[in-house]
Amino acid sequence: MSPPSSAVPYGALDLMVLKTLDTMGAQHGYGIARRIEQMAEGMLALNQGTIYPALLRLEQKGWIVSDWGTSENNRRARFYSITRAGRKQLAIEADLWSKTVAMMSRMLGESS
Amino acid sequence: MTRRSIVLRASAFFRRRSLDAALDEEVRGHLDLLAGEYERRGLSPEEARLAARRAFGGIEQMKETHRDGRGLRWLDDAWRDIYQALRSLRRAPVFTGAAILTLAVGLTAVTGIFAVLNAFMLRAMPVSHPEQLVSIGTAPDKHVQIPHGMSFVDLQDYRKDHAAFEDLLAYSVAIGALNSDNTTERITMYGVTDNYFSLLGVQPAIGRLIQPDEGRARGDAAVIVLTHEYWLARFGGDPSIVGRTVRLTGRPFTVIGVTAKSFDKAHTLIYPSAYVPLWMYDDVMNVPAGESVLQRRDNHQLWVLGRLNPGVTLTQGRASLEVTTAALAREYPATNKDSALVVVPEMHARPNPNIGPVFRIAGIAFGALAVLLLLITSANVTSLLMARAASREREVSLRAALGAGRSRLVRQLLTESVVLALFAGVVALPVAAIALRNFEHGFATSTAIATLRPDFSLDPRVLVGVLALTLVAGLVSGLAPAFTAARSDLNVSLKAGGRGASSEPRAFFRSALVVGQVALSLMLLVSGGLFVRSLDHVRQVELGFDPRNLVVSSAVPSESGYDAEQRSTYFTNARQRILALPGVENAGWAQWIPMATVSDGASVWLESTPPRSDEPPPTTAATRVDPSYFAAASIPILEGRAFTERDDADAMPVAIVNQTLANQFWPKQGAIGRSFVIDGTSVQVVGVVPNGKYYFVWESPRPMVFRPLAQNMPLRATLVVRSTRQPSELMGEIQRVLRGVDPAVFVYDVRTMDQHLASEGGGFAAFSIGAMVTSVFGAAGVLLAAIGLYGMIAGRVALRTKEFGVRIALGANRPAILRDVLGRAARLASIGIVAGAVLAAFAARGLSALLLDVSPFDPLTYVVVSLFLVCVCLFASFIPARRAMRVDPIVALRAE
Repeated sequence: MSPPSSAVPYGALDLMVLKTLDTMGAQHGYGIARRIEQMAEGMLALNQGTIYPALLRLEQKGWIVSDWGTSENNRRARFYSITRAGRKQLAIEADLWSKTVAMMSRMLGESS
Repeated sequence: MTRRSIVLRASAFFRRRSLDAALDEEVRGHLDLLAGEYERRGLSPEEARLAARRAFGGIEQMKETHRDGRGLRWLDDAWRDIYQALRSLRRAPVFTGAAILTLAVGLTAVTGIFAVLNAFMLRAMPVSHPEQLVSIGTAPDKHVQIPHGMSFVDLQDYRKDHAAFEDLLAYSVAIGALNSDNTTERITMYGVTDNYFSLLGVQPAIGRLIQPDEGRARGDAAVIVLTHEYWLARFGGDPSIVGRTVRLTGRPFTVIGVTAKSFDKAHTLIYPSAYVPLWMYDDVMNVPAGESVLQRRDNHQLWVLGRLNPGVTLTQGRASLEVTTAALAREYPATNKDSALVVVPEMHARPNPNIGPVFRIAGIAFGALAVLLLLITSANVTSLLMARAASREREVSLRAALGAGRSRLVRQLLTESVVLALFAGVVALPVAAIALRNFEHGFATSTAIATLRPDFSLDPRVLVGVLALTLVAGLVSGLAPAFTAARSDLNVSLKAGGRGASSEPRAFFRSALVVGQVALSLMLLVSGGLFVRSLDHVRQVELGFDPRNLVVSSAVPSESGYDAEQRSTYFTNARQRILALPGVENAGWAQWIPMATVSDGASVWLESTPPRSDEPPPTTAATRVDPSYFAAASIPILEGRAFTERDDADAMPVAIVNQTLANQFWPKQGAIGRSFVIDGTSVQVVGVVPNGKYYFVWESPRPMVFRPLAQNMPLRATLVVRSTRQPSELMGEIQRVLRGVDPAVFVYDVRTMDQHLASEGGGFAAFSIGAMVTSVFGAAGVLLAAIGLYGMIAGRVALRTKEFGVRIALGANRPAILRDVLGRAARLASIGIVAGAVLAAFAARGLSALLLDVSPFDPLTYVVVSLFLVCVCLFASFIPARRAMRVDPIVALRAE
């Protein structure tokens, strides 16, 4: 019944972007998208374009900042990096996720 | 939304273009990198590019989401709506012009009234804590709730016990001639209590202000404080003015300082140029001993302000003063038995406590009228919008079909009417500003009594208020059409091909509106016409003298401290110098001239029938003139002689009377040589002159007495100069010569007799003002009626386009359709005209006291005005009617 890849759960993309920037440091949009795809190991159907609205959202909240730089193929590109507030938020949300996941697996384990 | 994100989003709105470009660049870079990756995996460049696009997903969709996310959606939408509104308004210039003009009429009225109300009722005094200030007055009787002034003696008693108040201050208006550097100006001053400035919290711009305990006793140094504006105007802002001595009514006064600039705006209507201690009021105003402002308990001349202690309410303040009121009533029953205390906020006592309540009522009434007018104009625009909506129904349905939500549609249509209102506001503001400027000047002309100079400037409060009313007017006029349009069932209207469902009740409402407007404008125009006809007649009234080629000018030598002998010398010298001017034929002084603001009377009776002691003696108009006055004014001597130089103070008291008085006292017996009593003095009649008009141009013949100037030297007088030259050309010379005769005497109101008659209330002013006001309002009314009618007929034509198309296709002749449309307009116009004629008849009866030799039912006026309105109505409906006649059946039917 499980499909080879699933859509990104609501709110998860923002968290993935934050985590990526936290681990990898400043990245441009393509780098973030690729990292997320690599980590998902084919389990995720990501339209790479959708990360841009997510980046905008995070920047408006002040969790990431962006600056123009030069990419590996020598073109101007926008590099995003996480802020202190972003790290704090990441910690909160990661904690929330693991709690949710633990709870969900308990519930699903009981019912089966 | 956090504040940070609102700022980011709002700023994003203004940087849309550059943000879009940045996103484009970012996306291109992303796609290149992705395609490079695919190429490395072995795809051809072309395949790699396509694969990259696939992996990226919908680019335009993403951009749209991005745009919505980064900006404020409603701001973007509003911008788009405004753009859309501007485009659609430009496509319908006649509609747009008519709607803007209509709303501009209403907004001009509201702006004007609001600016006036602001000055009289809303603007806070520019002093510290103006909200604590209350006006305190004593009304003469408990039933009359009109605040009066207070007497100085009462004020002293109230100030002894004022627990609820920090203190009370008082001021009174004074006029005097201020002489400095050999020139004299007549200025308005306030005589103020010693605590006036300290209690209000006014600071000096330079020098110092009057301080507590300063100038309280007669014999104290005479000091004067100038207003900032007068200091600039008269002394060019020279700081060395402090300490200098000027002469006021002939007495030396030391200038001690100038008030802060902001305090210039503290007054409504009566603007002082200077302040002197109240204790010097009697000296400045030449008040005779025994009538002193400072001593008489029945002289209620002072205007009093109190400053409430912090936290004390007006009611508590009043209660604390009532104790003194009761005590005074017990102690001084003769003057204070019935007096009642009136305490109101300072803003309710403008422009002064006596007329403040009347101004408030009038102000509120005018404000309500203006809002009503704005509502009527909004209704007119509603009618125009409805007409337009009818022809736009398909456009709106199409948008709805293409997925525009109803709220978006309503918002877009409302945007259109709000944009219209804003344009109307842009038209209305300068018009209102010009009208207000003229209104201010109209107030400011009278120099005989005091300097009246209202400040009706469009300050921020007015502008904000008008902007708010503009938006409201836009919303009000657009609400009904917007909802009607957006509600319309798109299936029905798309299929019906634009015939839309017009509801009959609304059509009735619009017809009634048009009829009402036609009626009202007819009434106003008829009133205006009657005034114009009266003005025509009034100009032909026999005045009793020849007003042509006369220049008049007035002087008040008593204000320079001159006694009777000095005044006499001044009058004689001045006349001699004027006679020396080329072209001057004659000149004569009179204590007052006909139709002047200043006049005088005297009690006159026959020795044989003295007045009874228990009733006041009858008063008759009386003036004093020099020997050449009758010749200068061309008043013929019917019997006897004019005055001569020998009729001086040492000679027998004599008088010249007019025919009415002669006939009244000595019917058919001849008046020459007879005597009568005037103000207790027996005088002998030496001459009789024809009747004239003395107080009002429209008065019935009344008795008049002339006495020689030399036998009773007046404080002031007006010189009448007859010449063979253009009066307007002579005015400047006369003013220069008179000021040169004696720089200490102020000469004012130098003008031609025509100007004098046109500007004074007793002259033609009432008629010309009446004619102007009613004509302006009538013209505005006609404009509104025409636009209302146009809107209605245009709306009906738009709705019936297809019907007309069918009729024409079936062979109806086009003029018949024109008649059909015009017929309805003509019916409405005639109902309006008949109703208006009835209204006008009522209004004219009310005005009949102001009409001269014109019947309130003057047929000529009614017929001319009605014909004019018929023409306007037909013209207004002809434009849409012609459109109906020219309907192309093919176009009209193809829309099916």
